[in-house]
Amino acid sequence: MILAALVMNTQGKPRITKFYVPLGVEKQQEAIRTIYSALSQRPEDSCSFVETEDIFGPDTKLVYKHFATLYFIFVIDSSESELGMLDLIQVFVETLDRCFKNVCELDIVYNFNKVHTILDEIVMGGQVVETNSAEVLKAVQDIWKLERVGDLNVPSVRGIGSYRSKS
Amino acid sequence: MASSIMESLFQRSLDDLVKGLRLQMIGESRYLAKVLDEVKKEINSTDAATKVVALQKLTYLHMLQGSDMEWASFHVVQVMTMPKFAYKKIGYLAASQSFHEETDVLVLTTNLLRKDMGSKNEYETGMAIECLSRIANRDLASALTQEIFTMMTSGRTFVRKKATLALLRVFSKYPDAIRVAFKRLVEKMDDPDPQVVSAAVSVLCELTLRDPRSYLPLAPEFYRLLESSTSNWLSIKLVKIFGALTPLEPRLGRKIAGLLCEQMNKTMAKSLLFECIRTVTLGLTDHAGAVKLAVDKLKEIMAQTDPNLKYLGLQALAALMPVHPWAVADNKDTIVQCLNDGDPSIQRQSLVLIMGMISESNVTETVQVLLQYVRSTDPIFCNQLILSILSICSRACYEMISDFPWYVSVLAEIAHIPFCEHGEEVGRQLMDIALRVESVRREVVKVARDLLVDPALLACVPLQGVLCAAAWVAGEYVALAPLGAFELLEALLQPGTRLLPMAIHAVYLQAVLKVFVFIATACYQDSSLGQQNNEHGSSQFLGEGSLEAAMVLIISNVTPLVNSVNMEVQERACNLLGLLQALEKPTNSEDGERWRDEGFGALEALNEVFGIELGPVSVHAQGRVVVPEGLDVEDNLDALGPIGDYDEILLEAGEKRPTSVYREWDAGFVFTQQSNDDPSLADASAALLAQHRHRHENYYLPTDAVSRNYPPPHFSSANTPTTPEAAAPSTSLDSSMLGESSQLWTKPRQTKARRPVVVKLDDEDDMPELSAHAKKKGLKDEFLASAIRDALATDESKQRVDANGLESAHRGHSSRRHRHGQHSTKHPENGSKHDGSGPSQPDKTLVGQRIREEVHEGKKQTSDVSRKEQGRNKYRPSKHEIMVLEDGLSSNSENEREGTFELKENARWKKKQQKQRHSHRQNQHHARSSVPTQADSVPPIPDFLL
Repeated sequence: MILAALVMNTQGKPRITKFYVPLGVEKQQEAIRTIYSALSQRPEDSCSFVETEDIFGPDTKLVYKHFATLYFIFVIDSSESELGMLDLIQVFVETLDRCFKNVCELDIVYNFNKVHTILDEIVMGGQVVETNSAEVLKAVQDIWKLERVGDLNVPSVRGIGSYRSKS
Repeated sequence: MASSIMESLFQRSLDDLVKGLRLQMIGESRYLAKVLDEVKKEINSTDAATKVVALQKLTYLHMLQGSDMEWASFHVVQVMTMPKFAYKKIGYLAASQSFHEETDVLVLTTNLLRKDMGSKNEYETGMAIECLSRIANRDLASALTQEIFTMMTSGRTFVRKKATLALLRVFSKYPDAIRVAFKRLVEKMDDPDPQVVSAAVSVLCELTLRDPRSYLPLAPEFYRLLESSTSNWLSIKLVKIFGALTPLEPRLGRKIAGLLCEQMNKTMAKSLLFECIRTVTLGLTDHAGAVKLAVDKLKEIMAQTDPNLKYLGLQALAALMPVHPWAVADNKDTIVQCLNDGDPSIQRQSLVLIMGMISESNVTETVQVLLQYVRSTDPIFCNQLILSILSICSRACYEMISDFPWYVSVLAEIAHIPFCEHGEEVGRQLMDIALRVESVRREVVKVARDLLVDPALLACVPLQGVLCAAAWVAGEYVALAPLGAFELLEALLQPGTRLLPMAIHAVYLQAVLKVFVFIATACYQDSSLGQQNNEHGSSQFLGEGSLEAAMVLIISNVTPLVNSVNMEVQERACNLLGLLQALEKPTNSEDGERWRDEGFGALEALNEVFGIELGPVSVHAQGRVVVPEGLDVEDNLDALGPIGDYDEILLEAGEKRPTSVYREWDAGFVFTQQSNDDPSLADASAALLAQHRHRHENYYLPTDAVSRNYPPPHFSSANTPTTPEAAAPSTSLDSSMLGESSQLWTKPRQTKARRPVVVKLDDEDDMPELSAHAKKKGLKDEFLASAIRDALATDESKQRVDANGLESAHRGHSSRRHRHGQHSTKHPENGSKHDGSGPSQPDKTLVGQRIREEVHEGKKQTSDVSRKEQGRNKYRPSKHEIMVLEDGLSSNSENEREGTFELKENARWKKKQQKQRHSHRQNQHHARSSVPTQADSVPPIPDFLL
């Protein structure tokens, strides 16, 4: 499963952190620091996988991608495919890009709720839930619309997300 | 009221907070403290908007700075209950980010989650499921199993897939849920929506990796899905599942080999390809065709420049290495190149591979190549290389090494590498080799001498371990010194030695003592001999120095150490000088001569003691020493307290020299003897003294009596008889050998040619600090596994139809009992009625026989219900009987259960659930007791494999 999903900048400041395994707050911060120090030492053209036995236990790996000023990181164990995770990061970034129109670090800094919404539509409880960027985008935009209106019974959003057929 | 308006008017929004944070270059912590204070005030506000914004800020700070949020958990629940979607969402986010199993307010969320899961809006439902999958503990999972179960059949894909995924958390927190929902999870593999199928497989994959054995019966389902799968994600998960299943069932491997090869050939996705290769390395290693294809594909991949592919390729090769070393040998050029890669992950992987390929025949060339890399890489990797070399060469008492002089030179080279951090280990091995391999001692002493002579090394902290060992070797084997003992003495006493840590300096002084004793005895013998024939000088032993020069050197250098702050150094310096006093120039010739002779007599005795051959000491030696009678190790030894500290310092500083252990050991024997011989030793002060001697034997001068009494070390020579034919191939040190002959990598172990004697103890293991124990991922929760086995057993009838009959020896007693417990008396009849029409019936006559037996049992049960329990316990039917009986039963019970869950009426559900829980409990009991037998029995074998 995916143990954690993180976005941090190249200065080591975390931007989004989400841990799918129980980890105390201090441990989380420690993990973030260790991950950053591991990543920041890596040369530019090295591979996207780092073994992290000392942080998350045996058989775990960091899969990361470096975009502009940001690292996108998934921590996975042996039940996920490494290359699959790289694709997933691609899906995540693509969706962010579509949602924010040319996403940059600032978008993520100021919209942490929205980014969480996007991430939740891609990964749920450590499992990949959706890999199609368009599907994610649709769900996320619906949710944002609902958030703006607030009340779920307003006519303008009545159609959104309500069950068409009875359950 | 007014205050809340003020609050909401002037509240810092999240954006303000972020902006503020970005402006704070320094004093960030003060700013954060201020914001947190504000949050604490605002979160108590009666105004919903204010509260929500405060919570949002807190969540943000929690996520980024790790601020504590435990105190706000109740507020989180309050926000979660707000009707407004946007607010609710913030509450849910806060909950899933900050709640954990022990959060006390989790109890309060049960109904809230249930209500939101029942919402008309699928996003609200999705949000609640998402939250459950993050925060569920046992209670929450058990309370909401029903909801999740219902939602798995929801009309909306969005809800269905999330509910399916949430099962994973529910199962692991509340294993009983498996009995309820597992069947539906398996059904979800046939869901019309690929998303849901993917979710179900992903959950099953996770479960399978935790305990593969329980899921073997599902193999046909997985196979069918993999055959028809069009999605890479789905295929990857399925292939992963097979990777876990095939090692358990070789026939399954044969079955899926074709399919895997097909996937490997046609897929464009590298991720799927790698998954297939991994499964081949895990479970199909004896399938030549699949392995060949996998290796070919790996070769293609490794030729590309993408570092990701290179890394994964190396990893796959490492997995193949134990079974198919040729696959690694084929790729050796690429692997060796990878050592030079800029990427540490790749370097490390290739190092692992190279280390795996090392054998006796190529160890020299490989180590030579590695040493070249050692000099050119960064310090971290350099040390990894060194550690690998050291550990692989010393493995199992240096079984790889036949050319010890070469290995000693390698050790010396390693000691001179600037970044080397493994001085301790190099030193340990030098001493170890000197002890064990007699024929190479001269080389070891030469290396030690070179190390000692170089003044530049003294200041080098990582090398102190080596110097310590070198000093010991030089002292112990001074007779083998290449350029004479006097030179060694000079090296050991050079002024720079004062830079050394005290503990090591003490070792130096001890070595000085040994060297001096050697020089003095040699001189003394010379002088006594010299009276007869003067022309035989002592120069071949002593170099150009003489006894007087040695004494002058020692006195001038050691005298200041008498005032050393370190007890150890001080004591040894005093001992040394005390010895020398006896040998100083006699003042009046008559008396002095005798005085001098006595001094030499003491030296002779010392020399004899030092001359005793030391053997390696088994790690278990200490344990074998019998505790002497009357020795109370628990006794309070406060009087000796202060000295104890030095013991620790010594141990820390690597003073665990074989000598010290050995002599302590024989001191133990001396002590026993004394206490036996002389009962007056029971006297307290004498016992204390003896104990002190026992503990600090090193600091006592050995006596003659000691040398006679210790038991001989266990020697067993491990040399193989050398044959002239085997000795023929001479190993070339040319590193290009590595590139030229590929046979080198795969050559079987040759008979050891000209291998010197290595002293080995009978019970010796690898050195504990070097043999890394790879911990296997254990079964996480045996209970979960047993529950799944039961659930699978319940599932049988369906699979029978699907897979065209699954023979299952696996359906054990537990599930049968379970059903009996649940559907008391009517079932035996049902069973016998049904079994004739069961989907797979092998033999009519057998069936008839079984029916008879069953009817018999049925009668017994119906006629006497009260004795049923008893009868069941007595009557243990064979597996076949259980199978037939269950055929009828399961279809029946299945229907009944199905009915239960389709019904939405809560009352009925609850009643049923209680009943079920009751039976679950019973069942758990049975399941637990039957787990070992199930685990021992042969795993179920799906029919389609046969």
